[in-house]
Amino acid sequence: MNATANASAEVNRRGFLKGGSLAAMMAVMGGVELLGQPAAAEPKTVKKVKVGLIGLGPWGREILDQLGRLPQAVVAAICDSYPAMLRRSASKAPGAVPAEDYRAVLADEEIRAVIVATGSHQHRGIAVEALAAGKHVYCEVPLAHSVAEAREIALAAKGAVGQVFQAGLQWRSDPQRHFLLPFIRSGALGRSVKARAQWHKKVSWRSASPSAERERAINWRLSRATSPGLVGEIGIHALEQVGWFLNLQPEAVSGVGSTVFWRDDGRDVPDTVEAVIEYAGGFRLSYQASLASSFESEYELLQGSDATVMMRDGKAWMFKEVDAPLLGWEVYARKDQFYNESGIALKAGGSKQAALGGEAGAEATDASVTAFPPLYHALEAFLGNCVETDEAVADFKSLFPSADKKALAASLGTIEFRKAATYAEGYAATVLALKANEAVVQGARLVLSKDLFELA
Amino acid sequence: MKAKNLKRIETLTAALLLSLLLGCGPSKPTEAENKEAFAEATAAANAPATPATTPAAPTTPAAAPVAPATPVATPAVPPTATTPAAGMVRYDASPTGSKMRMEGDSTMHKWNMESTIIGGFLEAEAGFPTSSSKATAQVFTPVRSYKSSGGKKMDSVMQEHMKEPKFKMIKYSLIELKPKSPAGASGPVQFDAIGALTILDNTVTNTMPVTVEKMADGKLKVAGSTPLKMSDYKLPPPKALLGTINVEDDLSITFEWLLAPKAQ
Repeated sequence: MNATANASAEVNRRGFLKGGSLAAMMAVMGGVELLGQPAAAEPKTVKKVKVGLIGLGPWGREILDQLGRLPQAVVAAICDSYPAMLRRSASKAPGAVPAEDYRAVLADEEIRAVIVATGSHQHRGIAVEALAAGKHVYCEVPLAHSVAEAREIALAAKGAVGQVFQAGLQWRSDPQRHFLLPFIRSGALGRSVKARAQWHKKVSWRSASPSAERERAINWRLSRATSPGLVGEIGIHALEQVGWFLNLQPEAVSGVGSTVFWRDDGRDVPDTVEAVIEYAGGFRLSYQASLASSFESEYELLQGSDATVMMRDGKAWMFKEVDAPLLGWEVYARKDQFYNESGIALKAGGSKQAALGGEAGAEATDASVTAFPPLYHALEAFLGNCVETDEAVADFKSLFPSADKKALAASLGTIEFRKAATYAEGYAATVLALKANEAVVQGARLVLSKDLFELA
Repeated sequence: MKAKNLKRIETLTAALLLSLLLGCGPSKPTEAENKEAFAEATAAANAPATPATTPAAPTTPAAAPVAPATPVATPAVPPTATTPAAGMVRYDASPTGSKMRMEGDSTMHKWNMESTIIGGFLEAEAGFPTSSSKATAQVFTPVRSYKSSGGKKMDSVMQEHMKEPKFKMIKYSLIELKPKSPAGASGPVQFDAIGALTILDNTVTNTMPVTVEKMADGKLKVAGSTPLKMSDYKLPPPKALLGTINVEDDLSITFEWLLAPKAQ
């Protein structure tokens, strides 16, 4: 919308490299960081949002923890169909009204936003009804357990002009990844060769419960009838990240999976899976996940003909090929050793030049931002966008009370909202994840037509 | 210097400058009759907004979804008669297609703020703008609709300096249009617009060049761009960081305001 913002959105390899060079030079010369007066640019008041959190399983409780760190969040209601979960979370949200039925949360007029963190097979009804009730909605991913249900949610979000719908692809709000995005898109890795990602944990995914009925409900991830499996439930973030970073459309997916370790507890969801996503030009993403081995934990790799980027634990490194052109700044950059490879640290906050000039990556150059997990930033973006949307809608309607939805949408379209996953991105990611899981379960190769990712 | 902090501070100074600039101006008093009429209009515009309302949510949502709960503020459109005076045609601001931009500079870098929400109306004689210059207008633009090049935090800082929500709107009341276009000229018609600008609770008059164009679809496009100097308004130059950062004296305001004939 404004020149500076537009400039920062441009992919500018030269600007990135210049920034890195200056930062490295400053470090070598022992440059002293001259700090301004941050308090002078901080607003004195925080605009708050009353939130209802629906679903208090492990991830729901993680969301509750992050909401507790956000001054914008007022957790007004917590909801879970299992009373024990409500009691367990009550101390983290002392002012929240407990509810066993999500309809009670939706009926609360004071609550402007709801976060849907139930099992993905339960999302559709809650998310669609929440949108119909006028709430802003943060819906975890995958959006649903089937493509049809995900489409229903996405279409409801599309029609809810003036309401925020954010898909729970928290990496889309991660400053570290937004720092990497222009670097990767600038072509610094050379020709894209392949991508690899893994998630390895030695955990059962099973929770104990006092009753058989409750055990079935709480262990929804272990049944194909309700679970998108490892690749759908966990892998969705890594799968969609490749298409996001490289601007690629998936064309086919193959998968295999087996239960190799947790064989005796009745689950029919594989504990070890592999999926290969095919893109144009022979580029492939290989994804592996296992509940049976924790070796190397989790990371993502983007491999190019000049360099490879590894993302891990909220950080990133670049590994250059010996015949890659010299960028300059990497001579002075911090390096970390990984077995027999030397990785050049790529970290938000490293480019002072970009921040000074408002160039690519300028918004992600505050080193403090990486102290928080991506979920924190995703929720921060959600709450901020809720406030900004409500204000923009109110302002618009105050001056144009008879304007139609289309005009309101056009007006909202001029606002540069905080970076967050949209309903369309959430839908596309869900389709890919569900199809990948389908391929894993069938041990098949599925062609992904372009229209599969498009909303009607 | 930590760059991002500097950038924030510079944009803060820009926000300060904006609030000072728009809140002050030449000491020339507004004409009494215009002031009176404008006061009536702006009183409504600055009235505190009604708290957000949310409709009741469903008790059985699947069967009976409730209506959206998007908050609606108290309309801030001036309480002027919706039917124009005899012989006058009324144009209402179009909800889309308008833009106001303020730009300035500092010892560090340029700054700007933009809004696309410009409401209000214009009433003019039937021959306006080619054969008549008789027109009145009221313009309203919400303070919090301005988005700063400094980012979201700067938007909040700017709003605090503009004392939003106590003063929700920047307002402008057109007093007179003086034709400037040479006889027989085609294209947008040039005028000097004399009007009263109100920021916070300060109302001052100013003169700025504008063009008015009657579009093929009957809409009006009012556009203007004027350089300003702070010193002309006897403003103390905003400073930050103990005087090490100064905002430049020059800044400019550019706008395009689209209006459509009021539906009968």
